[in-house]
Amino acid sequence: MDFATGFAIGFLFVILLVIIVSLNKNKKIGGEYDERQQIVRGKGYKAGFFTMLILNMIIICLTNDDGSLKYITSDAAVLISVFIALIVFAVYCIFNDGYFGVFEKPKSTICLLLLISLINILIGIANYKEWFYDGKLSSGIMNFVCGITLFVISLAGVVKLMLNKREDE
Amino acid sequence: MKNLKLKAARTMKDMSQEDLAKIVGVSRQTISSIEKGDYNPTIKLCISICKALDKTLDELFWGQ
Repeated sequence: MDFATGFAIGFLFVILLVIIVSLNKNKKIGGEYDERQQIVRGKGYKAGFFTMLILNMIIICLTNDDGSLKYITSDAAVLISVFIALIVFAVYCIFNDGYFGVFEKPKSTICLLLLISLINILIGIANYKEWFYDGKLSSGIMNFVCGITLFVISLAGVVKLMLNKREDE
Repeated sequence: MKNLKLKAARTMKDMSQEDLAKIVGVSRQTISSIEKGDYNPTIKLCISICKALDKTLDELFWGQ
C-alpha cells in the first residue's frame, strides 16, 4: 500500500467516524464523565504532560551537536515519548476510575483497544525491515509502538476490571 | 472520614451503589468513593443524592 492510498483510507475512516459520532450525539454512548472523573482526568493529563516534558528534556540532553541521537532518530524518540505520556495518562485514569465514561461499557472498549493493538502489532512486525534507518531505530517502528501502547492500556483495563469485580464480591 | 450515613440511607432504600449512581448520573465508583470518604462531592452532587434518597443535606453530609 503506497502512502497516498493509506492517507485516503485514513481520511475516509475519520470522516466516517465523525458522521457516526454526529448521528449518535443524542445517545449516551460514553465519553461523559462525572465530576470526580473529570478531576482524575485532569490529574492524569498533568502526569502525562510532565512525563513528556521530562522525556523531551532527556532527549535534548542526549542529542549530539549535529542534532542527531546515537541509537534512535529524533522523530522516533519524540513520538515514543508521546506514546509513553499517553500510557501514563491512560493507566493513571484507569486505576482511578476516570478512563471509561459514566455510560461507557469498559469491556467493549477494552475489546476494541485490544483488536486495534493487535492489528498495529501485526502491521509493525510485518514491516520490521523499516524499523531501522541508517543503523538507528526509526519512525518505521511506530505501528509496533502504537500497538504496544494500546496493549498496555488494554491490559491495565483488564486488571482494573478484575480488581473492581473482586471489590464487588 | 467514611460517610456511614449515606451508606445507611442507601441501604434503607434498598438501593445498590449502581442504582444510586444511575439515578444521580455518576459512576458507581464515585458513589463508592463518597461512602469511603475518599472523595468530597460538590454541593450539586450532594443535592442530587439527597433528592434520590429523600434526605436533607444535614442528614447525609453535615454534622459528622
